[in-house]
Amino acid sequence: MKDKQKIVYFNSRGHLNDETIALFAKRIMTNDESIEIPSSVIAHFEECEDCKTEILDFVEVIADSFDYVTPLLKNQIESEPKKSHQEKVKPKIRQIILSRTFRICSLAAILLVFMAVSWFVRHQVSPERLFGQYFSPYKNVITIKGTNDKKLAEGMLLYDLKMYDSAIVVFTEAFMIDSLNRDIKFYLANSLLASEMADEAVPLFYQLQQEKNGKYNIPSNWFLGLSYLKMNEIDRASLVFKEIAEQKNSYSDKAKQILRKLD
Amino acid sequence: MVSVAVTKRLMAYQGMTDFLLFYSKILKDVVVQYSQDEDLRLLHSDFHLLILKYKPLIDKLVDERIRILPEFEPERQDMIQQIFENLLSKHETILIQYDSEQNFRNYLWKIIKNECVNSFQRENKHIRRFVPMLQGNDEIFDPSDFYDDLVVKETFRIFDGIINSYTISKKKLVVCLKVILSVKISLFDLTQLFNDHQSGYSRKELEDISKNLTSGGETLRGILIRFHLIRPVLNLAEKANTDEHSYWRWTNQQIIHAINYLNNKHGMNFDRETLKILAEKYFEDFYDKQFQF
Repeated sequence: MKDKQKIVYFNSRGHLNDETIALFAKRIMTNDESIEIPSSVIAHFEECEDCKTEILDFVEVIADSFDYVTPLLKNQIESEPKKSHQEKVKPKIRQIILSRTFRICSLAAILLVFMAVSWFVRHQVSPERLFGQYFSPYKNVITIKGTNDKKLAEGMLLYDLKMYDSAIVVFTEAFMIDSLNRDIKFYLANSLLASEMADEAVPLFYQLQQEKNGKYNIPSNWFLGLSYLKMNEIDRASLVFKEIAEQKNSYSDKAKQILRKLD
Repeated sequence: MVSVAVTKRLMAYQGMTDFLLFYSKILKDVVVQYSQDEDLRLLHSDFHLLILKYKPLIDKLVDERIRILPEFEPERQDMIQQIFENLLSKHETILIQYDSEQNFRNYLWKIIKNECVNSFQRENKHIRRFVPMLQGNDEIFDPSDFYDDLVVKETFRIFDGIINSYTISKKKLVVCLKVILSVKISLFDLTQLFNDHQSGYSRKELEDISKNLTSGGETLRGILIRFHLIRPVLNLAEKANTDEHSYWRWTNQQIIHAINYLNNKHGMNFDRETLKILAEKYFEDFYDKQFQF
């Protein structure tokens, strides 16, 4: 074995290298405490979901639970004749599929499904349903630096865990301390909307979309429209979605779709 | 032919572990990548061949279940055939739903698993029989109970694998998970944190801490109170000075990783709530039972 000091555990991208993954997997498989895993590797394993998945995957492979390395696989594909499926179909099933009654029934079923789908498409969709269809809380794009953002970090964790009620409590506390922080305001509004408190989310989204060159202008406008939709204020929602539809941003197409469905 | 990139990876061997294991790791990556490329090509050019490629996976999943439920043995061929047929009919759906960034094998595995469950449920409707009980009483035997039991055992096995993968921080994870889930933390759990070295706590002190850790309920406040109580013990064991919020965040992060692993790799459908139920059952029926003397 090489000198311990020279051993490299990470690759150029900062993830565990092949050998460290193999070593870690061996440690898990054998439960051999004499296999030393450096604390930096353990810390990375706990932090990095990708490396953790890689290790667990490899453990499955060496434990023979998975069959990734199956040399027979390719031979099997090549040796199986292409039409074997048809040959394998049981005569009884084939008989059913080929029968006239089956074909007529299938056509009738397709026609029925088509009519049902057309009815649903034409039928005006309720604002509540549209909201459910189009709303998903904004993804977490926050990078937290320093200890000053502790409350924000706490709130974002709850937000990521979809514990919106708890997130509201933490974001509100943070908002009381720093009411000018756009991140807090935006994610508080999202948590409120996700918790069906659209009326309380509206003023926050409104303020954010009014800000000049604010980083949440565009998404706030979209969520404002959705908030109105949730509150069943269709006229106001339509006005907001018309505005979004006229702009060219990632929400324009969705706004157009909603407007069509509201008409 | 081995590519330059693969050769470079092989050349990076440092002697930390057995070469064969290291080689297997790289080989696995190459095979997975090769298989993925082939799958994507076949998905558009020859779907039938693609499903045929995964036929052994269907056989394997069906056989695993039949091993536990042998009464399904006579239906084995029919079930495999039916799953195969159903998969073939899903070409259009797969073309629409499948995201090529995802590993196709994992994606298809989820579908095959679901098909397998459906197939057993369908067959189960026909297979109901009476079995004599040990005491001589007759009772209706429902194979679906056994099937559910099998699914639970399989999930426990995977979850146990996740817990064990934490090697030296496994005991810390167990305690932290129990704190979050409001599961009773035993004296044994606490002493295990210190492995072979002295904790500095007397047995009585650890017992008192263990008793106090049952209060607070499942609210955020309750969880943080419990982390506040356990923090000095964890810090002593870890030789660290971590605050309760950091322990809470760390545990939540591990929960998210576990949920993603179970869902993405094993085709399950866990969220925080259902994982909680799984973990509670795991500790109650499996983990803690190993250490009851």
